[in-house]
Amino acid sequence: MMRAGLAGDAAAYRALLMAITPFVRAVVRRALPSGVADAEDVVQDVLLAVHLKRGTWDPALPLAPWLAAVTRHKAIDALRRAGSRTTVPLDDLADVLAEPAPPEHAQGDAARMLAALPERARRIVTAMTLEERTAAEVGRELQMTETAVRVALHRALKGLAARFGARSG
Amino acid sequence: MRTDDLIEIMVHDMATAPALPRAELQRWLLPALLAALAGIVVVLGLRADLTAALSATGMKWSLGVVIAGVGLFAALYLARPEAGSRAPLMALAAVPAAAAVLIIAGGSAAPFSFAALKCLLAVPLTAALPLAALLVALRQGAVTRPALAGGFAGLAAAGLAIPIYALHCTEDGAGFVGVWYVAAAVLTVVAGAIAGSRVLRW
Repeated sequence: MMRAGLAGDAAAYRALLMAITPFVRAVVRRALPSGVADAEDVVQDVLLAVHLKRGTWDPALPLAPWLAAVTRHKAIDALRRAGSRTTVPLDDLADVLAEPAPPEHAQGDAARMLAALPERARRIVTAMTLEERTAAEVGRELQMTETAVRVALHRALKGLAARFGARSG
Repeated sequence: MRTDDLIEIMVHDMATAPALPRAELQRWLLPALLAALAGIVVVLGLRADLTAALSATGMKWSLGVVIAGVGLFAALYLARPEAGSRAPLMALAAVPAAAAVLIIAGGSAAPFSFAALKCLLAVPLTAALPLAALLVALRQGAVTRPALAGGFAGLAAAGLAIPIYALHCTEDGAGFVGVWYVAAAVLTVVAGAIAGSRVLRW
């Protein structure tokens, strides 16, 4: 399925992402003690990484080890961030407490991250996914070329991934 | 955002081909090497007896090719998330082995000198741009061991820088190459590992 998906078959790619999600969710839930982080945020982080890094999978090899490695990497990343959040030395904590309220990005979920995207990027994302319109249609509405719409969508996804990584990091 | 919606967005983004470390490397490495070469020629100049001494630089070229090969191979291998660290670390043994062979062949290790200091500075500097090109390429990969991958990128960059610097350096003794060229390569490896642990996270 991944091979077909990489070859440009949208239905196969969707089916693949749907199929791996339960596996990713199970691994993430097992890796993260409850309450450490929102498991579904990490699951979405993993799926984004699968999408953006899919070029590093060698189609000649089985997919499972690659997927497991990506999932493990992101789960460890989430644990590390959660750990650095809960084991701050008291001295540092006192400094933090003395400051005015920190920006509330730490607990942000994907919806809030999406909201933080630039206006046009958010419009493209919602138009193409929720309203199921094609890049050409969105391009006409926003007076962009179809390619520019695709590039903007891709940038929006990368921006999402960067925000996942930056949270309280 | 629901996970299903995210999947839908990604399916729509499918047309954008994922960047690949290899393709990115092909784009940046050659310009970086040419710039490094130009830097050596302009700043330090070629050795006066270059044409006559081409055979004398052969040892440095061999050393460069060996460690550049090991470094490139391991760095690109580590761009895959499921890469283990054992095989690359075993390949790393080629570096002290090469140093030992050169020192034994030279009869003795060359003592510290002005030429050694110049080598320790010039090789890492010559390697800086190729190292940057390698790190840019590795960022397109999915490195799960950033410091290790960065270190191998440093090794590859040092291997590529050594033949370039050899066009200037007149120290042809195996004892000199085995100590100071290898030490310069180790410095570059350390720089690559530090840089890698910062820029290769994702």
